[in-house]
Amino acid sequence: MATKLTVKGIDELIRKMEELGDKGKEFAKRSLYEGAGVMANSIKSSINGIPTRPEESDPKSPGMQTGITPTQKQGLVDGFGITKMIDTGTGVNVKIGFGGRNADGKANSAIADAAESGRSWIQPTHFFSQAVNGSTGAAQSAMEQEFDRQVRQIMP
Amino acid sequence: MTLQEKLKWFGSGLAAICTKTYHYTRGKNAAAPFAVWAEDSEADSFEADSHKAEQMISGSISYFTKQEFDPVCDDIQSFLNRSAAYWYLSAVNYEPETGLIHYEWRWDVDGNKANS
Repeated sequence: MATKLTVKGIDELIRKMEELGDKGKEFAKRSLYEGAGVMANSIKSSINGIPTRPEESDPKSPGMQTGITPTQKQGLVDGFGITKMIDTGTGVNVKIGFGGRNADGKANSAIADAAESGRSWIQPTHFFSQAVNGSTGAAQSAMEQEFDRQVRQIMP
Repeated sequence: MTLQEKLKWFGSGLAAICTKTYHYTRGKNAAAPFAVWAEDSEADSFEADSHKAEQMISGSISYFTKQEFDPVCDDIQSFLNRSAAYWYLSAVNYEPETGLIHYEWRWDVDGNKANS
């Protein structure tokens, strides 16, 4: 028993595959930015959800305090961003996080860390890890969709 | 196990290691060393036959100590090996304001190890 499989237009298919090979990395970069955007939006929403408290926390006060000051929150909003694409040679990545200092002169990354993990006098919020966990699936879908869209442009 | 059964099982296991263990927030005037744990969300659960067959709970443990190389940290990690489906040491910070070292672990618990 035998069967016959015929592929027509193989030259055209090979040409498109070669073209895809050349553009694959560029497609991956664009797709990564799509996914990073989804995750960044989720984290931005999560920053807004961090409880605020009116005064600076006092490490010597008993019990734990909740949230960050409005100045600290504004610093997180202003200092949040996505880095430029980093090409490692074997892949590409971006970093999402905090830079700069707030109006009180405190490093936004340190405030974000304190809000995320807490301190002995500050209740942790885990605003960052929860946003990342909650948006990972959507970010992956966004990357897949963007990659497929670009591939279909040269391989309709 | 129900949600609350899982949490009680997990919390009591941690309290057996660290006598000053608090749920959600530290006690007022709690002196180090002490631990604070809290559940905060659902992790990757298992759905089957149109219902949630296995609910995975995600949370954190914070342990505050003034002791360098505190062996309780190893005890907590052994406890997590016995109890959690997945865990990692998410942060270690020294607090200059208080002199405390703060260890934080993130964990996912499904309760399957309760009977093992």
